[in-house]
Formats: sequence, C-alpha cells, structure tokens
Amino acid sequence: MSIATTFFNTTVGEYPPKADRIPGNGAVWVGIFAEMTEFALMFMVYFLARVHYQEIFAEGPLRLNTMAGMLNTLAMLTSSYFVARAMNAIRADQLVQCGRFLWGAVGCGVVYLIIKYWEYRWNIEQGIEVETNLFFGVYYYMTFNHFLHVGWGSGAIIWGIWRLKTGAYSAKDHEGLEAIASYWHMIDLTWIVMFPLLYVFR
Amino acid sequence: MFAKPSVHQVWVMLMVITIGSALLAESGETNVLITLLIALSVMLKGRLVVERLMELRNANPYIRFAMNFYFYMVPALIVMVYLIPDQLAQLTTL
Repeated sequence: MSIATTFFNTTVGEYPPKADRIPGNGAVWVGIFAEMTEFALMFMVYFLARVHYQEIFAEGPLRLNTMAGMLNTLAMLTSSYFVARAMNAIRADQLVQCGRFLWGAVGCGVVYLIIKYWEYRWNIEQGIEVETNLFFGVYYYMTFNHFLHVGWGSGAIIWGIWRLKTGAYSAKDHEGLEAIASYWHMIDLTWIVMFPLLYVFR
Repeated sequence: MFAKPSVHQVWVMLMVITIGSALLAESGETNVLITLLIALSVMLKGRLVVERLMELRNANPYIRFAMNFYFYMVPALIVMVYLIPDQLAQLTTL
C-alpha cells in the first residue's frame, strides 16, 4: 500500500464510541496535568515579568526569528494531526497506516528539534543569549524546556511504534498508544501558547 | 463549530491561524485589535487541538473542562497584561 493511499484512505474523523471516557489511562493524565501546571507557572512568570519590564518585553519579539517560530508551530501542529490520524487508523485495525502516521509525527518532532537548534545558533550570532535581558532569559528557559519535551515525546512515539510492530496494539486494545498520543498533544498545546507569547505579542 | 470539521479541516484551520499570527508578528504593529486577535488565535488553536485532535469532545467532563479552561485563561491574561499592565505591576509588587 502506498503512502498516498495511507494518507487519503484511512478512516478519519471517527471518535471512539464510548462517551465520558478517559483517553489513554488515568496515570498519563496525572502526568499531563502536572506538566500543564509546570508550564502554567512558566507562563505566570512571563506575564509577571512582562508587566514589570514592559519595554524589554515589547522589544524582545522583534529580535527573534519569526520564521523559525512559525515553522516550528507548523511542525508541532502537523505532528499532532499525524498522531490523531494514527489513532483513527489503529481503531480501524489499520496497523501499517498507524505506523506510518506515527513515523510522520516523529519526523515532525525531528524537524522541530533541528529548526530550534538552528534558531539557537542564529540567536547567538545575533548576540541573543540567556543573559542578554530578562525577556531572553524567559525565552530560553521556556523554549529549552519545551525542546526537551519534544525530544522525549518523540522517543515515546518511537516506543509506541516498536510496541505496534510487536503486536501490542489493536483496534480493541490500544490504551498505551492513546496515552502516548495524549501526552504528545499536551506538548503541542504548550507550544500553541509559547509561540504567540514569545514571537508575536508585543 | 468544533463538532463539524474533519481532522483534515482542523489541520488546515490550524495552519491558516498560525500563518496569520506570523504575519501579524511581521507587521510590527501593536494595538488592541492585534492583541485581541492574538488572544483569539490562542483560544481557537488550543480548543481545536483539545476538542478534535486530543479527542476530548466526548471524554470525561472534568478533564475536558480543565484543558479547555487553560485556553480561556491564557487569552484572558494576554488581554489583561496588554490593557492594564501598570495596575497588574502594582498588584504584584512586594
């Protein structure tokens, strides 16, 4: 089956039939809420710093590479789309397609990491470092934290692919894969907040 | 609006909103309207991912509420720090 067939013919837009369910399992949601709280604290630091150092935070985004930020956002959102497609595929017992979509998500994660690495190098060339001012201190703290999450989140998806290949998941039983999917979406969601705060909002 | 679009359509919407945000950033403009657009884009993108890609639309209501609440609070804070930064600075000065 070709990749084009995988992309266009897989069952899409289907929700699991059971309402009021916990996607994945309870344990992963403890982790997700812990992570969301950690990022919420970072966002609070950003907002507090912003109102106290308004000029620095108004100028900061102008010096960052908006294109890199935008491409990273597109990569993260596309990875989430691939993960959603993979979940639809596993529910239809389309294991090959599920694996391909998961590799697509990993590919987007790798693209994100490469762009972010390039962006950090570009920043240094422009004289933008952690100690340049408070805005860039917050920027590096938040984005490097997110960078690490994308790294180990990609690792988790690769683990899911390995489990898929060894027959651990099927249409009837894919709780572990759904837990990984939920965790990955959380990583995407935190970037959805970071992109406008750091690159757009002046 | 979150019940109807397919996963493909959700992805296209997310791409368009992101590119729109980047264009706003490149414009270099700062005003109330742009701030409201930024806040709206965060809310829309967050809710689209939560409801459609994360599939919380028919999930446990507490989990769904908590995740969606995040994407009401952050946009509200964006608008607040733009509109009343000095008052917030005063409130948070020790």
